[in-house]
Amino acid sequence: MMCEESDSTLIAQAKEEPEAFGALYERYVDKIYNYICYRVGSDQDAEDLTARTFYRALDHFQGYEDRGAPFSAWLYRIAHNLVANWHRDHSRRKMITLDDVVLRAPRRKGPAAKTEKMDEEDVLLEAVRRLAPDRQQLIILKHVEGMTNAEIGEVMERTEGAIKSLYHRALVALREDLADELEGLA
Amino acid sequence: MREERESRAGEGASAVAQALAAHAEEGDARQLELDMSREERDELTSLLHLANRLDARMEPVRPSPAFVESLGEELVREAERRALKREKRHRIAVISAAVAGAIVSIASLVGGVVVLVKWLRTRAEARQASTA
Repeated sequence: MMCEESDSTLIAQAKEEPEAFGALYERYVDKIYNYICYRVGSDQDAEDLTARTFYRALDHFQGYEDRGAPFSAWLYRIAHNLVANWHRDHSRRKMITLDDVVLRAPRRKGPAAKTEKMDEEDVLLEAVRRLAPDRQQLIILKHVEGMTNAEIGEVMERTEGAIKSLYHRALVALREDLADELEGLA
Repeated sequence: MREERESRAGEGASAVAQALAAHAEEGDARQLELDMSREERDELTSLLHLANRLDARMEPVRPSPAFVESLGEELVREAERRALKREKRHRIAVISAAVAGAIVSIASLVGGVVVLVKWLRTRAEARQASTA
């Protein structure tokens, strides 16, 4: 029977044995990449930022203290800060950032007649990317990672109640943005 | 009047937020919905529809296996290099402390001998003076 070691055990091991850091990396690389990819919209940038996230984690790993919060929360916070810096650095550059995510994301198989629906979905993703960074983060953690409000609260360092309110505001903002978009098209 | 309206709107928003959370986490939203006004229920339905669209569209994306493998190898190599560096630094610190300790000990010993010699010489001179 395979017994998966807990994060706390792996963290303690990784402070002494480099291979254990590799095990932590393997456990979280998909999630961090996924989060970053939805935030930046380009798989090349997502790979670059994922690598930077884990290198930064390695830089600060000896000082990391396991206080009971999930290790992933720490990684998501590093990723979030790097993504924020990335957006700041790229804010002046005009980019079509969603294309890669849209093209790479696994789609439901179907005939070409679904193109219209796909366009509608792309509009939805673009609207998500126009949300404020904390709202985007929340939407991604909830709808892509499937996290609970309590887990999101640990990542975003907010209370569960604050996350509920933020989620409500994020959905309202998204709905308004989509309505504006539709009006613009009409 | 305005304050009352705002307060009611705030409570409504809070009720919708609670119901949204209950739906998202498969909690029991029935009681919350029963306590809602029709407007609030319409609002909740509209937001739940949007949440379902997000669920359907926002599917996980995966990094390429080649990227995962190569970054994993790089990180382990880098972690090993840093561990060796830390070990080396630790060894240097231990050796430096030992050397410093030895120097202090030798200096104390030499100092002790010098003081002793000086004391013996002073005593001998004092004796010579008293016999003369």
